[in-house]
Amino acid sequence: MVCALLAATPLSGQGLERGAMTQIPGGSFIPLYRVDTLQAEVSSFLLDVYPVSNADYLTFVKENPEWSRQHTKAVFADQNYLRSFTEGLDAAAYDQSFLKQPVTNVSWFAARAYCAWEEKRLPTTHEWEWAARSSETHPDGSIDPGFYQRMLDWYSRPTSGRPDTVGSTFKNYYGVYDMHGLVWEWVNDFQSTILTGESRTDKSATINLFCGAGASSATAVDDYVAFMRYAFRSSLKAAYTVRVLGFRCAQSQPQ
Amino acid sequence: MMPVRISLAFTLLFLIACQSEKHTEDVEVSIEPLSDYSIYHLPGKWVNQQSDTLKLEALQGKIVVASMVYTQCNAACPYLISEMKQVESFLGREKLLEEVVFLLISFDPLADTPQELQSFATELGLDPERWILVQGTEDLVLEIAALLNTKYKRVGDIHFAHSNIISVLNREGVLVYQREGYDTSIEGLFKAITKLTQ
Amino acid sequence: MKFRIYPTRISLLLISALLVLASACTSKGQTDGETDPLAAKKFDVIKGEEVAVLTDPPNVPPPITRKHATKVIVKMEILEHEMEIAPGVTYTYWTFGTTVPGPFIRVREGDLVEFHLQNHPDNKLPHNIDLHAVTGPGGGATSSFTAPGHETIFEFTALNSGLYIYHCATAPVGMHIANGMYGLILVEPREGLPAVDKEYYVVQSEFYTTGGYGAGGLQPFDMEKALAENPTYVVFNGSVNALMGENELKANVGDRVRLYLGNGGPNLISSFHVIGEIFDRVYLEGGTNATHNVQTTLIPAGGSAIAEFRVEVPGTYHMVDHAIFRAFNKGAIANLRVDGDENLLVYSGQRDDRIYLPEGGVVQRMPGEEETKEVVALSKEERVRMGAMVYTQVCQACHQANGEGIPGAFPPLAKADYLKNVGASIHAVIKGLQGEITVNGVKYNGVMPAQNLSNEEVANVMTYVYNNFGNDGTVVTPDMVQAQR
Repeated sequence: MVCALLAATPLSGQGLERGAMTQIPGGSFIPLYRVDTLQAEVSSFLLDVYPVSNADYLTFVKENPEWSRQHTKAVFADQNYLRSFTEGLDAAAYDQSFLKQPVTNVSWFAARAYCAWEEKRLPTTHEWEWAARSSETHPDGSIDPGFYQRMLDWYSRPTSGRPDTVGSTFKNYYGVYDMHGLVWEWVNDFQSTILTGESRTDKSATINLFCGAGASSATAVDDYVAFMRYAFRSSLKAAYTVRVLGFRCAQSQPQ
Repeated sequence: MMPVRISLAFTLLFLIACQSEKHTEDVEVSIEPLSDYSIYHLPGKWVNQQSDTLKLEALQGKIVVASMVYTQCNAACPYLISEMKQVESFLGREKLLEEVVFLLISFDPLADTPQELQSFATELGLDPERWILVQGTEDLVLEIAALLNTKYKRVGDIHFAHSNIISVLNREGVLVYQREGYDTSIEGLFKAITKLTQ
Repeated sequence: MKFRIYPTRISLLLISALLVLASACTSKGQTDGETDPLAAKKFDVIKGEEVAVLTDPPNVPPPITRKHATKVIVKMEILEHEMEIAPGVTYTYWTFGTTVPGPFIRVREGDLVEFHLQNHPDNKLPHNIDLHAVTGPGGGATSSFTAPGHETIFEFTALNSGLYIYHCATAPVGMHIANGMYGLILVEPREGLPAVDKEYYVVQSEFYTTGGYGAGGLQPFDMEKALAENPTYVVFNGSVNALMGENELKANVGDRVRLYLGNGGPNLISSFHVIGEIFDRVYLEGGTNATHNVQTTLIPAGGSAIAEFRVEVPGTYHMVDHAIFRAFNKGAIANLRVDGDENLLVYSGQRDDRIYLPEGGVVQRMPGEEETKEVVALSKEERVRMGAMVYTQVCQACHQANGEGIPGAFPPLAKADYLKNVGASIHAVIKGLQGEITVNGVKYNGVMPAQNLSNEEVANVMTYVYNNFGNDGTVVTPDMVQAQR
């Protein structure tokens, strides 16, 4: 059984205490793109229960003005950074639903800075994928009939306007909300997905573009949902901001 | 476009004709406000093969030809470095060597200590007048790789799978050209650099 | 001087050997005037630049008239959005230029294309593009991988003329294509294509949904069906009825029509046919070779074809995939309406509609038809005339047109002495006759089956017989027939 350790005050009915975390127990699994070994080992770690919200991020920018729209250099975040923060940095200027939506249009540099401010970090790809495997009732969601189709359905629905509020999709086996169905999420080592985007050669990445890439190849050809996540991550550059891309933070646990 | 703002962290020092490649201590050099796209905005300190600490903005004023490698790499990295040396010979013939610096950044700060970098440089005959080899923290490596669009990951204890890229930065540290892979000619590299010298 | 004259046989052998060698030489190479398709391409001088005119299906940009190569700037935006796929059924399409298929691109052989791929910020996924007209890695896919809210740019020279598919190649490729990410790019040969009167853009493709054909609401993509290559919908231009009703294609009698055809797949090959038309010319697989007089042409998945025909006769022509269940059960049907004057020589339309009887049988009725009121002969002449028809349909097979019968098999009716016994003759017709009889001094021993004819009909046919073939002109009435029953 999972024992939920919360780094902040207990979850209320609203459940939006900033930075609430839960423990994800360690384990090993086969990620879509293998490294050198087939199985990836993940040590137990803490993960935010919710993606970082607009309210959370507003607080961060108020305390760290170098990360406001005007002060952030283009090399660290492109011109769509925080484009929805149209009313300034005062939370009272925004409606409640906006404040509870996951923050998006943030770059990798910005997400890292936020997590560092909370004395956390972004999760690694393997940590994120490991935590995301679970459905509501099983640590391995592939056992759960219909779970895969539900994820596929999310990709089939276009984004209409702004995303829903955090906590509005499902709570998984570990007590984490919104790993699927709300927004894409940054990971710390998004640059470790060795793909060119030319997916026909990406099955085993081109030797000449990538040194040592002979070790990199897809382990499953029909996990379309995983393909889409990896493809999305590999299309990103660190300064990119995207309307459907947010993040949540993680923290290592002493082993 | 965001307005250019000079961060408080920058100390404005106006130096006249200081084009020396040897940088000691934390000498910060900036002639004018850096472009918003310059990678030299990345804060942090690096250590070079002579064990000197160095900040990226010290490279301002030079054209930088850069690549990310690691000393234990025996596949593509030696090839990339030999191509950079070809660029060096070409520039020598064109009498443009004064303008250019060659920067090698290590993926592996733990194994690639300054001493390792130094013996690596000596082994490969890299002229200390213009070759700078640096290492930084793992976090800094992650960030500079992001800025240089270089994908990488550890495979096993020693090796890395990584993109094979040679980048060109202009005198302000803005990334202006990248050549990925090594099956295409390096004509493009020559052209990109020559263009910057005009 | 002595010289040897070769014997004739060996001379012939030598000559034929030489001929074989000569033909082998010419068949390996080209005939004079043909360029080697595998030779290195020459690059044209690029003069000026223009922004490409892109059109939504089923329309195409106008033919290219310039005689020089130019730089063509193509800007294509990708949008993921929901549209109707069949009445009451919607689907989340991933589109180039909001349509399925995407916009039609028209360039000239030798043009330099600057391609901008724009991924709308509302989209969930990264996309790229592989144009089959591109020579280079991934057909452009490696250089156009674009995250939502971003744009990538690459350039290529259109080295080969032809009609080419373009499609998204981002993983998972099957799903990106299955959701509608394909279209056509035409690279006109330098000399241009022959002039025609109408040009249209039609692309066949399949869709795989969890619900069955016609199941309502927003239908998700079904991966199992896609893997099994078992589509729910097979359609032209992205949806059922895309080219029907007010959206049907139009032409006039006498028009030369050219169809730029594509097959986005993802899985099926198309057997493309226009019902009621023959393709006067087909550029096979969208390439340079043309063939003539084709009824049904193949469009490979991820391939194309160009079909041309002159319309001669007005009407509605259905375009189908002739793997026929796809046309009538999955939506692979589209219309071309042709207006104009009739041409009865080419096609007359229906001339007549009549009952058909197999020979020797009885008068048949159409199923469900009520007994029609018999037409009653009002005079001897009428009786004879109507009797002639019965004779032709019922009696002639055996007794022959001239009443002569067949010796040894069927007795004659011409000047037949048997007929002098009217009652027995009627009886033979309505009840049949078997056993030995003598007619005109010749014995016959066959079987005549009973004829299922009405009294009127028997009266008519017998009156006819008695008044023809040199017989004595007796009139048989229906009452006389009834008396024999």
